[in-house]
Amino acid sequence: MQLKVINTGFNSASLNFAMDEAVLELVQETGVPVLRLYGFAPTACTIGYFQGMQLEIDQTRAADAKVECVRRMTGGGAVMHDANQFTYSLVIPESMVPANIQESYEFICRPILEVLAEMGLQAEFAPLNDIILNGQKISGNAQTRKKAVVLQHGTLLLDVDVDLMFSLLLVPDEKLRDKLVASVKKRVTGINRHLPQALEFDELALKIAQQFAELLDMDLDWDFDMELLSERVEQLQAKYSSDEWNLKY
Amino acid sequence: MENVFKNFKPTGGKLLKIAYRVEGSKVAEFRLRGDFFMHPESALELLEDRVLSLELDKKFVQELNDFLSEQNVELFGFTVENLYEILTTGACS
Repeated sequence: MQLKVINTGFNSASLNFAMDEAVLELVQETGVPVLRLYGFAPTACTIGYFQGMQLEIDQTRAADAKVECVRRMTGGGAVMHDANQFTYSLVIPESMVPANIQESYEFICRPILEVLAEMGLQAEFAPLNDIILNGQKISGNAQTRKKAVVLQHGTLLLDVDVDLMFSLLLVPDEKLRDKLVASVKKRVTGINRHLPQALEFDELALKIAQQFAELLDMDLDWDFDMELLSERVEQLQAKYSSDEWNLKY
Repeated sequence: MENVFKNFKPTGGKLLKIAYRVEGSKVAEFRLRGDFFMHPESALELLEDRVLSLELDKKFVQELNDFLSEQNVELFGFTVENLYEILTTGACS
């Protein structure tokens, strides 16, 4: 079997999540795994499936900064996405990954670790869903399973602007905001800070696709046309742009 | 009686943001939000409804765990024991 792969470049959060869900539906029909490689532009804030938008994001600041705020179909925390991140989305039948959810996170994160190791960065998987480098988080991942198909998407931080992120995210206690920002700066990093030369998005996409093919013991098939899903993607983008979805909790 | 709204972080778990109200031996209001994971995601409302239907006593943990097993629900980032501790003590270890 081949692993279908596509680099959809940089898109808005609502369009990216619409593509994720359209591909999930496709794989439910075909049983053929798809790897999508992508980025976020313009800057967006996303929250986990179980989070309340009003509890997590400063809506006024986000609106003023024209930052789109979208709720994901996966759990996890609030994230600011910008062009300094690389994102993958693997959509694959459950039978092709470990049945145990915790083990499957680790399994699907392996290609990221391999690529980092090729570049001399000895990163580690940190349960449940993170990748860390020298104790600092460089990647967060989230998974959902629907109709026997797994979708796992994850973001690899190339660089990170913690101050910008916390200008948009609400914190549990405003009095502790400065302390929290300082703490996050210590606990999170971008990989470009650890490399002699900044990584190019397309180069990274190619390396990661190759490692996923190796993990799954499949050949890569780059002949995947998202246009075929354009009608469904448009419908789903309307969902991910709606208050009904984004403000559900 | 007003709802309590508090954040809880179980040791090694995810941040839970819970609105709740306990009246006698029952939970009269319960809304669970946070950065946890639950498979399938659609089970959140089932879990919230089930909490409201149970007596808040020693059987709570077993009954809620049994219910989640029957529904094939898996929780990541918190446990039913955490919810029981929160609802009975207002704290979480």
